[in-house]
Amino acid sequence: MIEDKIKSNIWKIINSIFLLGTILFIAVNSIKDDKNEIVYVNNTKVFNGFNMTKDLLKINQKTLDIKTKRLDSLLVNARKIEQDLNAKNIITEKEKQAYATMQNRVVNENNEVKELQKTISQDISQQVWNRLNEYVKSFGKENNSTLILGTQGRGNIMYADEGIDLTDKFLEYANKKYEGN
Amino acid sequence: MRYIFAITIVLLIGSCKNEKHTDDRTKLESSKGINDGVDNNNAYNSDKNFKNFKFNNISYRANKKTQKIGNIYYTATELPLEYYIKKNLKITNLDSLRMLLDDMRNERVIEFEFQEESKKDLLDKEFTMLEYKKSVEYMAFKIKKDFFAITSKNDTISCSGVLFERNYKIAPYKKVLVFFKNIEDKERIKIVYSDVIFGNGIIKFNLKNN
Repeated sequence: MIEDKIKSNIWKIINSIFLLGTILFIAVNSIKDDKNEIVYVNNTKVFNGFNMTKDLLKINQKTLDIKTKRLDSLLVNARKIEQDLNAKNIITEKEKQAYATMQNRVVNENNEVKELQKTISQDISQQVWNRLNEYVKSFGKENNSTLILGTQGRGNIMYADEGIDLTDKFLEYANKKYEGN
Repeated sequence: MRYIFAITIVLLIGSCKNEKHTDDRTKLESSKGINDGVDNNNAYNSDKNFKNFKFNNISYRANKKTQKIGNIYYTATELPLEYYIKKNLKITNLDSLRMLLDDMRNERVIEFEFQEESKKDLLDKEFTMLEYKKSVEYMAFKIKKDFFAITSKNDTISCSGVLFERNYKIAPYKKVLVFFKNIEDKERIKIVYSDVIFGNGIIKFNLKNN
C-alpha cells in the first residue's frame, strides 16, 4: 500500500519535471525561431574582401597588363619622335604624317585600355554581385534573418548598432562557400 | 501516470526531430532525386559530401561537392579509380585491373554534373546563348580549358581531357568526365571550374580525400 503511494508520487514528480522541461523547451524554441532580426553588411567591405573579386581581378589584370605595356611603349616612341622633331629646323611632310599616325595610334590604344578597364570593372562587379546575392539569400535563411541591409557609408543608413553588423560573419560565410567548402 | 510520462518523452523527441537544418541541396536531393537520375543505376544513397557507387556487389564511396549558382546545380564527384576502370573501361580481370590501377595511380577522374533546378535542358539556347549543336560541341571539346585543379601544395594542374556523356535528353542532367594527370596519390584537390557556357564565372569544389 505504502509502496504503491511512493511509486505514484515518484511518477508524479517525474511527470512534473518532464512537463516543465517540455514547456521550457517549446518556449525556448519558439523564441529562437522568431524571425525578427534585422542585420546589415558593409557592401564595400564585402565586395573587396570576397575571394571571387580577388580572383577575377588577378585574372583580368594579366590581359590589362599586356595592353598597358603596349600603350607605354607607344608613348615612349611618340615622345622620342616628338623630341626629334623639336630638335629639327625643317620638318618634312612625311615626318609630320608619321608623327600624326603615331599620335593617332596612341589615342586609339589609350581609348582601348580605358574601354577594357571599364568592361573589366563592370564584368567583375556584375559577376561578383550575382554570386554575393546568392550567398546573401542562403546566409539570411540559415541565420533566420528577416532583413539584411547593405550599407555603403553613403548615407543610406545613418546609424546602426555594431551588434547587428554581420559583415565579417557574412564575408567568412561567402568565402567559405566560394572556396567550395 | 506512465502514459503521461511516455507522451512527454514522445513530445520531447518529436520536437527535437523538428529542428530543421537548412540545406537546400539535401532538400532538393530528396525531393527531386538529384544525382540519382535515370542512367545512374550504380549511384545510391547520396549525401551532401559523399556519393556511393556499387559495381558487382562492391561498394565505393566518393567525395562529392555541389554548388548552386542561379538555377543550376554543379556537382563534382571524384570517382574511385577502381570503380571507373571496372565500369567505364569494362575491365574486371584482376591482373589487368591491378596493372591499370598502378598506371593510373597519379590520375584523377572527376564526374562533373550540371542540372537545372526545374530539370530543363541546359543545352538549350536560353541557357547557353548558343545553338544546340554548338552547345554540344562546347561540352564535348572546348570545356576542357575551363577546368583546372589545385593541389594542397598549391600546384595548378590543367585538365588533361574531358568526355561528355551524351544522354540524349533522357536524364535531367549533363555529365562530363574530367581527367587530371600528375597528381600524387593521397593529394587533396580543389577543382576550379570557370563557367563560360552558362556565364556563372568561377566555381570551386573542395574535394576532401578521406
